[in-house]
Amino acid sequence: MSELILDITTISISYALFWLVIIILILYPKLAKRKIEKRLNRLNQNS
Amino acid sequence: MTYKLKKNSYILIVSLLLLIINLFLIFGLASFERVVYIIFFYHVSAAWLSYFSFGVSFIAHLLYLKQKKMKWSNLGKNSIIVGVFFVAFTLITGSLWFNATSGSYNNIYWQWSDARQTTTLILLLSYVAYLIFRNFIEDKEKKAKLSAILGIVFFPTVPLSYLSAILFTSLHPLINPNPSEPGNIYWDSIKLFILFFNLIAITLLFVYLIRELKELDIAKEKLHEKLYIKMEEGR
Repeated sequence: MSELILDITTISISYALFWLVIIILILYPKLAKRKIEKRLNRLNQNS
Repeated sequence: MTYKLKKNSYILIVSLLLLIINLFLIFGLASFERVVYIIFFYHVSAAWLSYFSFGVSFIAHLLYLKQKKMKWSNLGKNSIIVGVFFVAFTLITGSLWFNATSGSYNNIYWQWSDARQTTTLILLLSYVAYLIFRNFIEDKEKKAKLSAILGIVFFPTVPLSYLSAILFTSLHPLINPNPSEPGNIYWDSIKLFILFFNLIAITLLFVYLIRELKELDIAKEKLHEKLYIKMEEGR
């Protein structure tokens, strides 16, 4: 494979990884919070 | 029905917009010998954010030991969570860069003799150990105190990682305004502007993430209180 194609592959992997890190970090607190809220609601309903 | 966005959502939107604009700036303004040089904008930004996060955690842990307020302990932990993700990204992109430039794709991703790579790996492992250790302690006060000590003890790995390329043997290039110096990467003012633009965007993202993680800690605290009350009622 030519160097240009390998360069483009490398930069694409890096860019995809960059956004993957950002998406994980954005979603983690949101999803965790939602899970806690659901559990709190269940606890409130039970009491 | 009107939907009001929270202040934190605005920070996220601005940060993401800046990151997208940055991509256009890279392709529109900067010129490179090889396309793979673009990796540097993201590699350097992620490295900056990880060092910054660990710096914030260091200060937060010192403040916890002085004031004994849980908010500092949580800030220290949350900064480390963000920092760990970005330092891992920095290591991966550094390895990809190394493979691309050291003999042009010979499948050489790692060199243990390279001081920057090795010290950054030590930095990553130290803070991963911090997060694991923190998770194992049940008692809140004990957890905050011991992790503050650990956060402070591990912090020297940050300047060590930064200075390693300058003080020891390393193939890591340095961004230098002097194009005649061998082994360094010369960046003109346009590339430096794009880099600083990216740094601002990513630092705003850090502010957003810290605020979100703080809200998560508050929610966790509420749940623990509720569970404690429930347990007391059951006795």
